[in-house]
Amino acid sequence: MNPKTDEQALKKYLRGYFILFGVQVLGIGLVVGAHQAHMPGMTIGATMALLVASVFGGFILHQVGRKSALNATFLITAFLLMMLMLLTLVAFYDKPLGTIR
Amino acid sequence: MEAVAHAAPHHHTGGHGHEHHHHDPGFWRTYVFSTDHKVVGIQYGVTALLFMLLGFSLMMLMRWSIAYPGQVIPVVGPLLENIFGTDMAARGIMSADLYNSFGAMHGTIMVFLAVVPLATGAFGNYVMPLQIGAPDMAFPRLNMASYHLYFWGGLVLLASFFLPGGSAKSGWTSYSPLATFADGHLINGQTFWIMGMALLITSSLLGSVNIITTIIQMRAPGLTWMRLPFFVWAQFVTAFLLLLAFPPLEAAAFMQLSDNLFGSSVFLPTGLVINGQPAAVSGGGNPLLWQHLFWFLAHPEVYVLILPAMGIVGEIIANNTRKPLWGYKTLVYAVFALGFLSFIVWAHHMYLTGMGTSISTFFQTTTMLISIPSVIILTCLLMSLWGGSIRFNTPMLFALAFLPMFAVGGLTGLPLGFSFSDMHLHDTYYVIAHFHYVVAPGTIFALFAGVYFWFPKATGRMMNEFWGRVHFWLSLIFMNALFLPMFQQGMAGMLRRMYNGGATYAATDTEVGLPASILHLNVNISHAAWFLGIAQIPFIINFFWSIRHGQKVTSDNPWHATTLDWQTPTPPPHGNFIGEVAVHRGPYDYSLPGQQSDFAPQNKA
Amino acid sequence: MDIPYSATPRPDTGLYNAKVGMWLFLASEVMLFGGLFSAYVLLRAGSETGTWPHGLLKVWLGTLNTGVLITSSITVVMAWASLKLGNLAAFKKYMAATLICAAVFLGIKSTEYRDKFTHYEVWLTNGQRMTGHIEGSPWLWNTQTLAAKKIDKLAFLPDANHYALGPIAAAHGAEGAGQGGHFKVEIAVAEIKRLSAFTPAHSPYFAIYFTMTALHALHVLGGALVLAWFLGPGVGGWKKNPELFTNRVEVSGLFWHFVDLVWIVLFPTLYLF
Repeated sequence: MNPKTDEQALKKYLRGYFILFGVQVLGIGLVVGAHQAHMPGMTIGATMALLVASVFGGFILHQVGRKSALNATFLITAFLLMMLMLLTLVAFYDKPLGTIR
Repeated sequence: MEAVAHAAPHHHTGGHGHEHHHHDPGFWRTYVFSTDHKVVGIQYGVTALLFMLLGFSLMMLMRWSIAYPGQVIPVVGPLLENIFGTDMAARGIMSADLYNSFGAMHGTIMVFLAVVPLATGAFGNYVMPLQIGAPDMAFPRLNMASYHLYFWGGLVLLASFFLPGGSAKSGWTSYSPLATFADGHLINGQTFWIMGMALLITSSLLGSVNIITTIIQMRAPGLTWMRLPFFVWAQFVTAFLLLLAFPPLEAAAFMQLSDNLFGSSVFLPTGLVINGQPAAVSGGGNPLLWQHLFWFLAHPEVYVLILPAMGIVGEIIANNTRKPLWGYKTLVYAVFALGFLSFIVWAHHMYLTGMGTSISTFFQTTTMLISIPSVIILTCLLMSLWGGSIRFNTPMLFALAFLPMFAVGGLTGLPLGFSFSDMHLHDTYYVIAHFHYVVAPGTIFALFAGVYFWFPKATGRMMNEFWGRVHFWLSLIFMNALFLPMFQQGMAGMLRRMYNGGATYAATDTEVGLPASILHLNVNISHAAWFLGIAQIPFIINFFWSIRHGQKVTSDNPWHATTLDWQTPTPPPHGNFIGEVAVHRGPYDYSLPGQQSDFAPQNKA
Repeated sequence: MDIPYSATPRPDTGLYNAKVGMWLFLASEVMLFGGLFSAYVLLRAGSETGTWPHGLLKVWLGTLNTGVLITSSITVVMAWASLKLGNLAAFKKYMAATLICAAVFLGIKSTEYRDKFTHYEVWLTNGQRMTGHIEGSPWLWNTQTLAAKKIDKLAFLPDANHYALGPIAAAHGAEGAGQGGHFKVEIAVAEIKRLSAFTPAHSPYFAIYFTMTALHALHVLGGALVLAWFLGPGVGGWKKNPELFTNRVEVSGLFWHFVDLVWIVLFPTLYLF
């Protein structure tokens, strides 16, 4: 890749990056604001939105150099992470009948 | 990466003298701080074999305590007293504490310091880049770092033997709260165990990143994915298991470290009582959390142990039957399925922790599912033998023995995968027999096969065939004499991890317990273990003797193999291949009709 | 001997080696922090009512740190983009800004740690619980310290509110009670069942808080050291092989972004919920 030729693409990439930055700043403002206003549901919702925005924004930005091998790796990782968190939690709540805590 | 930065100026100056200078880096850079994947592989191999001998020696001592509890250990007893002190081995008698610390370290050493480094570190490093036609690993310096981290992790674990109170004693599983309270000292064997494991995990992380990157990026032109030798596929999936399964254990290890050093309660429940006293901790933690995070690693780890072994067996069977592997694509898909499923079966180690029925059912189902790809792989390897004109040399004997031995280990695992039968068998010698059949006459036989098979490539000399066969037959006999009776003991209800081999629970006239016939098996098993130790002497001598005095190979390809690892000079020089490598055919073109020779190397147009 | 594709991408995968390696490493890191995060979820789900502390961290400091960290991820991208455009001077400027952000982040984090080490909860034998400070702000005391120092009375400055029990009423012998919550109590050590600073030993919440944030801080520190290397001794790499140097800055930037992302998860989890 010649640094000079894809200057245009770079500019576009940076623009995307600044948009993501703006979204993150807004998102954090929203999360903290909701927390200060004692709206727990809103805090959780805003946090989720912020996370999704960060992950997907980052994902789309890094598509520049990303190829199928890596996408597959990340799908597997995401799946395993879900499994780790979900199954431990289900195992925790799934008590045999008559268990006393 | 770094090597390029150094090599680039050489190209600009263009002098051959510079190149030569680059190739003669002196003793330290050649043997200790080498970045050459072959040297790193041999470093891994020799270190791991030594650790394996150590792990086995610990077990031979423990077998004395099991067979003859409370009796002075002959020959080495006084030595143990000198090394470990009178608390641990008074008058040369193994104490329960010493037994526990040996037991924990036997497991840790065998899994993390011997078998995995040998399978992925040694064979993965030495053979895999050769098989894909690469000049080296993708990150040579990282490769060196991962060996050194492994080595230091091993030293930390070894050093823990000499701490006051001895090494970790809570089993290789290090379950909390036992692991936190097993020792009174603040800096104790468990702390060292965690530190050592952190180094080992980092090492395997760097190693697996390196292996995957190398396979993705450095395949020779024409070596498409479905032309990769089966061994490379096995390494690829293994590296993914190491990459993704190890970190949760690292996280858990940090939290256990916090419990041990800072008095936190991540794994310590409310109302914990230690030695009749309420423990001075906040409580509120969850001991099962440790087990979840530990087995999230440790079950995939089982497949880390077995997959490279299957890869080695596949290579040797194809080569010595002079036939392509039967169902190559099926094998590849089965390895992937195995790797993937291995992540979601972990709680079948925890049926007795009060898990509910629905989650038990889930894990039973996935556990039964995972036997399907395992059986597919074994069937493909078995079918590959059909109609072949088999060469029975030492590597092939070991590879052939792998098949029934692994089958015994695998099939005896099914009753452990069902929660109802596991209730009875859990934590008995049945479990010990099951997983040792998978790992000892299974994986370790495959690793021996690999050592005999690739020895001529690495050294230019063959290992002695006669003594190889002696080693094989004696090992086979004593492995089975060692592990087969354990099934019987386990089914009779004999628990593992008892320093006196279950004598506590012996039947008496008035009490139901373990019958004398079952307890007497302990003596037979111990004898088998010691004879198995003696059976390794031919291998040890053969290995070191053959490096200098073995029969010289007459060609670069003594086994007439097709894969690229045999198309290099012997031993391969720095950079591996002379000239460009291009691949034109699949990995196992043996016995092609209408050809003069019975094999066609992958780089033959 | 050259390692192929260390500077230029391999045509069929479209990637150079270090990029593959870094993404794989990050996948592993996801599982590392994922393990910790699932520990957090499980511990929280299993905690008894009134034992899970919240509201003990300063939200404004956390918000500030979040801002600092996402700003640093902008500057690291700008540093990489400057290299792409061949502007080494701008690279140095942006990289220095990134490092300053990292230092500010770690500085704020360490003052937060110090605050917790001098902030206490005390459980009395009569069942009363208070959070607050000990007069003189000693570090890291606990029940054993009181016995070791042979103290029999503790001058305690309670907070206005307890995280689980609400407003803390002025206890007996309080001086200046009713002055906006700023009062001092003398507690006889014999009445103290348990005393703990907000350290990992206080509760599983603080154990997981310190494990997660310390591990994250180590990542920030490690990342900052690598970035500092490109600015300092490693800058010569630009002259030798600009493409390789740019690639290295790019993968280090990837790591840096990951560290930011982890913080964006940690901040609401530990500070707000």
